[in-house]
Amino acid sequence: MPLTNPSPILHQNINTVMKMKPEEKEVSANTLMGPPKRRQMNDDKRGDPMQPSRRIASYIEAIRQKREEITNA
Amino acid sequence: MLDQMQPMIDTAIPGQSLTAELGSRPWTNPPQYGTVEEALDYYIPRLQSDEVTEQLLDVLEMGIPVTTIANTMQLGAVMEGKHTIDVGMLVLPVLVELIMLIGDTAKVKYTSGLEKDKEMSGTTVKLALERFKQEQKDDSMPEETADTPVIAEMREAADKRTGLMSRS
Repeated sequence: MPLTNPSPILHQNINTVMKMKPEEKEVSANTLMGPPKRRQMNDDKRGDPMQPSRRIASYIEAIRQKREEITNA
Repeated sequence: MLDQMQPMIDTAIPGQSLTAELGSRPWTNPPQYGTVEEALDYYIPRLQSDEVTEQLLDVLEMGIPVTTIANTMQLGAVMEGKHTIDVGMLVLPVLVELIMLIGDTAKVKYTSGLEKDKEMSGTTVKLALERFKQEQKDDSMPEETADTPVIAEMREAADKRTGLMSRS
């Protein structure tokens, strides 16, 4: 069956992105004992707040807060 | 499996996109809004206008799922060349939330159309069917009777493993 409405799946995906908040890690220096630079760059990309999915998650969080305010009021 | 075997005759034929001159359709031109933020700037004022809000609430009251409305809006904008499909996919969850916010503000009961609701209804039906089948099985199966002394002895003997390979 072809997928006609992807919005439920996308909504679920964004919910998972919202659950997976980036953890704050100690930034290790790029020394001999530190992680390889490539891995360091990948980690930075994953937690990047400017990633589209993270940006959308922040918008949705704001809208949900408003919805909660309305429903609880 | 059966679905995969069926021929897909409702899709575009190879090269169909080249039957119209390049740029003659809105979606073959560069999009008007390139980013998610720009696309949201296009949607939010439209959704906040009284005219659209009234129509939206009417549609919500009719029981049409929020996800369907959001997807239709997004698809329409892609066809008009407002934004790309990629941006549309990213904007879609925000649109769903926005429409739900409008519904909540107007205190309209709406159907979200999200997967969880569907799963819930699906599982309740499945559960009911499984229970029904189980009950039917229970009715047809004879009840287990207690072991007679001979059978109990036989079981004990079977449990006691003897021979070269048995573990003591």
